[in-house]
Amino acid sequence: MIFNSLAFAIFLPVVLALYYVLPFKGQNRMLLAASLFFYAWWDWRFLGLLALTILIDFYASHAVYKATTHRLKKRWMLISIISNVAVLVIFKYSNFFVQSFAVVLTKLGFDVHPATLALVLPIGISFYTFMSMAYVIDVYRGQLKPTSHLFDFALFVSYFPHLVAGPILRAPQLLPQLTHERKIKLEQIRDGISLIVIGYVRKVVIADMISPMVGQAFTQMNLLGSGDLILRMYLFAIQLYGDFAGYSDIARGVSKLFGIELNLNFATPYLSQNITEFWRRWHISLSSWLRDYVYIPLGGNRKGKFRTYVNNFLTMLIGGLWHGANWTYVIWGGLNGLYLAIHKAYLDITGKASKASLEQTKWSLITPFKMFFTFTIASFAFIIFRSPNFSSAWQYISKMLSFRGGITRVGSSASMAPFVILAFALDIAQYTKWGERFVARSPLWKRAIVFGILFAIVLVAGADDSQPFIYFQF
Amino acid sequence: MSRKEIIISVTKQALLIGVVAYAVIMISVYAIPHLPLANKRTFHTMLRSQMTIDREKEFSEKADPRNHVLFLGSSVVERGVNETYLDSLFNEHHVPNYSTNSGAGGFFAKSNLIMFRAMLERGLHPKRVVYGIFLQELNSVSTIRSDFGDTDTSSIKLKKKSLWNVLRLGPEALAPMLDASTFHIYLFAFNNAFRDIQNPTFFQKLSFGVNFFERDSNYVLNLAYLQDLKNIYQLCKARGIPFAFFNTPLRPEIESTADLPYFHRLEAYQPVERFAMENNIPIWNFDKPGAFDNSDFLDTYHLTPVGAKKMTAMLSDKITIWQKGFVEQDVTFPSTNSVRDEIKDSLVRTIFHF
Repeated sequence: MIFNSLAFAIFLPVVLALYYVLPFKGQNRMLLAASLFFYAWWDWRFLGLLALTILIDFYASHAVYKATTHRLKKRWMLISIISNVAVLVIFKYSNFFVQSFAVVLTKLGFDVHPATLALVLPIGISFYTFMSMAYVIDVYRGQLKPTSHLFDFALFVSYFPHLVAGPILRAPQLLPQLTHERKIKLEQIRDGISLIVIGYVRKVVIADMISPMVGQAFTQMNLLGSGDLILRMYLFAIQLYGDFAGYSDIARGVSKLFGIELNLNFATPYLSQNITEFWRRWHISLSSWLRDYVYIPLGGNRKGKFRTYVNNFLTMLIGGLWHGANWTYVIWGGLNGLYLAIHKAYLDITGKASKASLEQTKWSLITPFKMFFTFTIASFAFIIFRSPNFSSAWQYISKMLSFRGGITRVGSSASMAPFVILAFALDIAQYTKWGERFVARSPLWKRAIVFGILFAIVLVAGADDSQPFIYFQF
Repeated sequence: MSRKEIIISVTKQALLIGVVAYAVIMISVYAIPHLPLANKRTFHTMLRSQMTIDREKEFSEKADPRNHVLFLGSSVVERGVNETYLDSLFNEHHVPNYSTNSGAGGFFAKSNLIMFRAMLERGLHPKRVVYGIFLQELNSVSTIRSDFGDTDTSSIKLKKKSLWNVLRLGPEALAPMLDASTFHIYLFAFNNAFRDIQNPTFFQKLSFGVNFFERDSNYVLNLAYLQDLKNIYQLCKARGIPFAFFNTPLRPEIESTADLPYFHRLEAYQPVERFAMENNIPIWNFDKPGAFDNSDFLDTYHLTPVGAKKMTAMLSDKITIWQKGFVEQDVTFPSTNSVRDEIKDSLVRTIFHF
């Protein structure tokens, strides 16, 4: 089931109605049943895989907690990690590894005909395995006491707002909200509804309306000029952001209606002044997951400057691979790792400190240029992310940088302007906290007018067809 | 908050937003001139049909005694017949007519039949109907054909903008306004930019866009499409509406090998011409050497605004003669095969010569 579907428009009010009339224990059971139904709507057969992950990690976490020796704890933790990684490898990466290995062997002169598996990629697999695995690691690190209720843990992993496309939540943040009786506040309802509308605007109006223009750039590259390709490079960055941030907003908004808070996943990333800041603002739940479970265990910045650059690079490489079984994702991750390493080296050489928080910095004349530069290099990397293979990405980049042809589709390019303006207007409202203040201070009628107009645009934009969220494939 | 308060709060907020959203949609549907209750796929032809209905309504509300001449066809008609100019010529020659152009890019006989029938059902009363034949009209493998069937539009086909219809179909009807390609068609149609603007300025290009046209390199004659043309004629005949055909011109100079369908001219026109002769229907051929220059064309098929004025003037003359009771049948070739082949050879030579 996707958020921008009729099925979800019926599902959510029914679940909310049941939730509001049930007692606390009934609420959790109903939420678990609803979450499994939500997942099964796509393909019920993969419920077994989800259940397997839940069961292994639930029992592994208890085994880790109860183990008396460090060695035993580590063994149970490794069982959890291996089982999660194995699920990912089998369903997501097996064909990729087999085919890549076959290419290497062929280049070495061997005649190989590899057998590949015809497997369907279970939706949201990367999100829920990472959450479940992190739970066991947190127990191993002594940062968390495992829950004694299997149903609570199952709900933690399968809670439908985050299940298929994140945010990737941590147990210390979500579990207590599930195990304790919740008091829904008026502000949560107000903010939740606002977030849902904003999320739909980002997805249905911005991302989906831009999508055909971007698609054309990759399928009819030869008919377009360099100007078109440059423009569409930026457009894809906006589309991807609208798609994914839109999903996160809807997920957070829906969750607020249950009185459950989910993490902020995107904090106006295209208003970042450098690439390090960009990665603190883009897909925050994955970036912080990678920081805590990959970068720090690799040594983080504790092993000298050079190792820090290498660790940054390796972490991003793994982050790239997390997105999908394709070399384009690995190269995209690697390129971002390179960006981060260069920026870190620049900071080390100039002695400047990187901004540690997401708070706004003082503006100067140069700030918009820094933002535009960061937006440009992030968008450039997204060309590789979007391309079906590396040769297609290379073709796109070479044609774009040949600076021949200009903008051939002036009219249709210009028609994208309202969506781009809307995307940045929403971000500026979020960045300056104007949106937050408006929602908090305005009377209901005023909010109803603003969000009603936005929702009208959503209904119109989504009237013809709905497109699935890009991040579902990960 | 108590459970009751939560339920009331969620319901109130969601309902209010929904009510405002629907109010905005309904106001917009009524406020946007000529907006049909169409979807993106059917938007172009339904917009033209809606504009035709609105124009006839406007004339009848003013009790204007002039006769309505309706043009049907595809983009070659949409771009090639300048209603305003034609009306001024009628006026100049004291012919009591006004014209509407219902041609829509990519919509051929099948779609025209459906929309014409729908317009008649909505009460349209044209006094004359003229259909502009396009070379690709009977080509079953044309890539620029955007046909639709009755079922495609059965739920939305030129529905009246009643409260219930707008409630049901409002979001879908407004969707083309958010889509680049259909919004640009609306801007073109609403501003008469297809026919009036010879050299668009940068800002006009920004607002209207620039059209690109595909050229077909394959041609497979399909006489089923001829049946659609025949049915349009039958609809007119049954209502006593005089009907005429005209062949739209093509750019004389061949631009590339992709223009090979020129060789199918005879194949394309002959069945229509034969049908016209059998039924004593006027048929005017504008696709003949010397009638138009290369500079009159925007691309292979479409006339520039200057070229459109040239063809519109020719149409004005033909309609004036027709209205006097003369049936002109200006066919591209005689019916005997030997002469036909001779002309075909000569045509091929002509094309190579160009």
